[in-house]
Amino acid sequence: MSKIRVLSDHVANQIAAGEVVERPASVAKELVENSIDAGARNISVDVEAGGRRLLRVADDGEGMTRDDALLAFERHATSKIGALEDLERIRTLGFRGEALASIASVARVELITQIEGEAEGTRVLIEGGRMRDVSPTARPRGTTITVRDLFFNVPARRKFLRSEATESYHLTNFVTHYALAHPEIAFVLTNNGREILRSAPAANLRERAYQIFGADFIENLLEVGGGHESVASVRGYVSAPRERRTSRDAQYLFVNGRFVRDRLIARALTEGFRTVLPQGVYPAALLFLDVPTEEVDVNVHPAKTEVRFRRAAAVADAVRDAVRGSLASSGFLRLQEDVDEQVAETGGAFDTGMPSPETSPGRDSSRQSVETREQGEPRPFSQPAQGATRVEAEVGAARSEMEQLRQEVIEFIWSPTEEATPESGSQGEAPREMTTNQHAASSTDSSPAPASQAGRQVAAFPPVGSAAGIVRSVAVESLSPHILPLGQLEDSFIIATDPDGLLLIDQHAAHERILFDKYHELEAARRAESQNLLIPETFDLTPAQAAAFDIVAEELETYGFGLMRLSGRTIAVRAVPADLPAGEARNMLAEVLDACDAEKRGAARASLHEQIAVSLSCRAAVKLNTPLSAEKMRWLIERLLNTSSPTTCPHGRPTILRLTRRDIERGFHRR
Amino acid sequence: MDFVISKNALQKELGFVQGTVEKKNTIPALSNILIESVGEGTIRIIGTDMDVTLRCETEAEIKTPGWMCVSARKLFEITRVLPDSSVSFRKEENNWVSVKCERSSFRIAGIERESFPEVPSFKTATVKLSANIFKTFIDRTIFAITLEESRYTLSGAKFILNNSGAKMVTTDGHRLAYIERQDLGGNAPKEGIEALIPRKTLAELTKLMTSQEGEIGLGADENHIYFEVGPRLLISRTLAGQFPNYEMVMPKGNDKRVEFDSVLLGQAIRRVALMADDRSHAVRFHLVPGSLHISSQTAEEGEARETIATEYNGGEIEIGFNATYLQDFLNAMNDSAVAFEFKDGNSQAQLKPTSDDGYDYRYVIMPMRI
Repeated sequence: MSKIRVLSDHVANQIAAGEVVERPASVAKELVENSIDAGARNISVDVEAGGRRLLRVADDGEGMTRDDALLAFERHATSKIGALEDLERIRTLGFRGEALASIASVARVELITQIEGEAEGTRVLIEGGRMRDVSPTARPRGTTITVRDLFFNVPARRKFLRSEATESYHLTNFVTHYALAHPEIAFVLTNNGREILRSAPAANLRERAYQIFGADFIENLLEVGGGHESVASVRGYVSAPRERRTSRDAQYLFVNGRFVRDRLIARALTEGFRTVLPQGVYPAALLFLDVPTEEVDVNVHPAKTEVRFRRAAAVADAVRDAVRGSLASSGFLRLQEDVDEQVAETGGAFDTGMPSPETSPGRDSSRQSVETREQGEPRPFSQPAQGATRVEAEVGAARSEMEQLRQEVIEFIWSPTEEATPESGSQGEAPREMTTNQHAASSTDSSPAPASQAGRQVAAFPPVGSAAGIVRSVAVESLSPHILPLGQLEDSFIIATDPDGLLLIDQHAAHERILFDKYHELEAARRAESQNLLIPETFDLTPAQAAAFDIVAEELETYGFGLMRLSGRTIAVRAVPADLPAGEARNMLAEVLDACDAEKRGAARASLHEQIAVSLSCRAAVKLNTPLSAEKMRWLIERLLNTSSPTTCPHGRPTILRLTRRDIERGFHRR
Repeated sequence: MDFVISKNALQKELGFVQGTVEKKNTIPALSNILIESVGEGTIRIIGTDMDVTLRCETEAEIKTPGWMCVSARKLFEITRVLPDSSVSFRKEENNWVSVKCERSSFRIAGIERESFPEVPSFKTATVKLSANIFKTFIDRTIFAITLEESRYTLSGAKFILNNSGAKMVTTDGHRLAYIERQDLGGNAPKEGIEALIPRKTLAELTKLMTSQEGEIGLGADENHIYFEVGPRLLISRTLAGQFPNYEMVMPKGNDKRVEFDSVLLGQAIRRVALMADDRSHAVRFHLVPGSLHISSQTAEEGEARETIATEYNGGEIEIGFNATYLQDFLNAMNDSAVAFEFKDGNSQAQLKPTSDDGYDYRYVIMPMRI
């Protein structure tokens, strides 16, 4: 008996539904995109029970004829493309023809539609993919689709839905995105009868953003405009550097009017803010990319929040330059040729995970500089070249963000290894490629102490740069418990030996790590004390924050907030955590509300605690240029080895560098 | 311009003007002061940061009338270390100024008068008020002004003067200081004043009034308030915006009351606060008939506890307070006994001195939940 069977359409639809319909918000997304494609000027979304019980999208778009209305529920039925070539020119948001069929297979769907001028409209009723009723009806021009009891016939799926509050949050977020992308369309969103969002047609993005986010948000926005229409024209807003977020949640990215989650653009945005915002802090952004349709593939995933660019590096450059241009014109950044060059050089990292057919010019130049160095390298040490190859290899591999950062650091260290060849003339070139701080660091030449002090001010670039070549940062696993301090270099760095060779330990960084671990533990164990306010303060939340509020209110109370929901999107704060400066408390409230994705709960508090612990430990740690007795050095080393991360300080810089016995022997030509 | 002045007189005036001069150096011209001659025996020194402007007048021997405009900080530093003698100033070409005193001589770079901002215009002071009263007002309320820059409308003192008296209110959202005096010494003001005075202005006024007896003159227009303190005139921009409705915050129905020796209480809080959390400064008041137990603890460092005898005979109650807030008031209060009035551990408590010195002085403080 043959085992292979062709699945019925119904089952196939249900399977497809798994890709398209992940949660109520994805249903809303498909329906709203249809409304936009139908040329609607007014779209209203009604939600009950987080979209599980009811989700209704009504528009005043062009509507459908009776036949179309029936056909719409067939799989691969679409009005938007007709042939494969059309995929190259997709201007509409939808095109796959899967959405309605998928949705209808897992819910009870009612569609009512009317074309202007027709005598009667059509009402279609489908349950779990089965047509129940088709009848004439009447409504004004447009289409209303009501989706009831989502996943009623797929219990497995239903179980994976999150709480009502979480689903509402996603829905709200999503409608907010589309309201931003289409200022000309009026949007109304109601949840359980409460109006969450209402925005009248707006003249432009700024006006729409004002409707949604309010005046405070707008005040902090800088306008972005740039790029080239043949690659990607970039417009929108980014937040001024004073506005800081701990997650990328406030970054709204759109490609050809379609909301996307794209790491390439997000990274380019971060790159644009480099040196302006500290590590781990993200700007808010509303960025709209207009990319020629043949240059972008939106047909990557059924949900269509992923896109692929034909010229990824060029798009990333366009975004980064537009952002930097905007920062520069508002005085947050001095735009210099050389700074740009330096960024372009590290720009190779953009391609990560997004292989592009073309190599960015930045990578070329970086490779070239490595080669030049190799030629002008008189010594037998082949370390720099090896290192460079390693970096190149790593660039190709997809890595976590943290590692990416470290890798950029390594790349950076390798590119200006002027120290090895001081007479080659490259020294004059290299420092100019750096930012101002770096300039100070490397122009003071090879003396390790000043270089590392200057490096201290720039978190992203640790001091190993000056120790080029053979002195390297140390892997945790390779640390042995038998470290014997010999003495201090310039009263700042402990010189020690271990079975593998010679170690240099930054005494400040090491102590910082020890203290950080201690303070961090204390912070976590801290009781929440709360200061009542004389006069409750009121806050107007964004729609997404308001939706998030229900999820995190309880958590906020445990931090020491006293909160009360007033009408609409307004909340009153009656008490704040007593251990925070008053201003911080307000920031924290906003951060927690913004970072409310279920997985990230507690993140804001944790990162705040971390920040506090970092600054406490930095202040209390033993300074450079402090003589230490042998006992103190031993104590430092012993304690350092017992910390959570002995090889890095809380700022992410290395605490220990090693000169291996092997390298020493090689240096003396004993090998 | 050409003049001679005594070192001490100059140093005194520069000390005052120094305080108002812009420290952040956003507009370079603002780090300068303008010195100009008035008649034959007086110079006028003006410094400003655009929000607060101070104009001082002092005696000097004018040889040639005119003006000069030089760095406030440099001139002040030089003057401070000059011998106690007369100092002669002469303006030279390109706005340079030479300063000579006995054997020392300096040349200081100056700027054009045009780049120095115009002093806001003002009417003559319309209202007189005892310097002593105004100084008491500031001393007893300035500490409760918020230090948070973003809270614009709380970053100053609400000052109200009318024919029923004068009052000043400050708050940072956690506590509120209120002082009122009805008896203003006979001269009821013809014109009322109601203004939100920035913290810096109040601090500068305190300095100006230290040696000032008698009365000061006050006047206000839409955006400014000005003070005549002796020969000196201070003009300050007022804060725009809505000060919170403080009357709504003043507690009503605080049915429990207890009095303390303010020195004893102050010392006890100071000791117990040593063991309070570094950031929250939380201390716990546990009040039972006959005594008050004050305590604090930090997870890592330990705890402290002190008991004060009282004549309290109400119900047992526990309230948490920020020790700093209590100390601020006890230091400013200047009286031997303090009365605590409260309702429960969650509502605002009110503190005030028990004796009547003509001021209605009250301090409202919001408890902590600990």
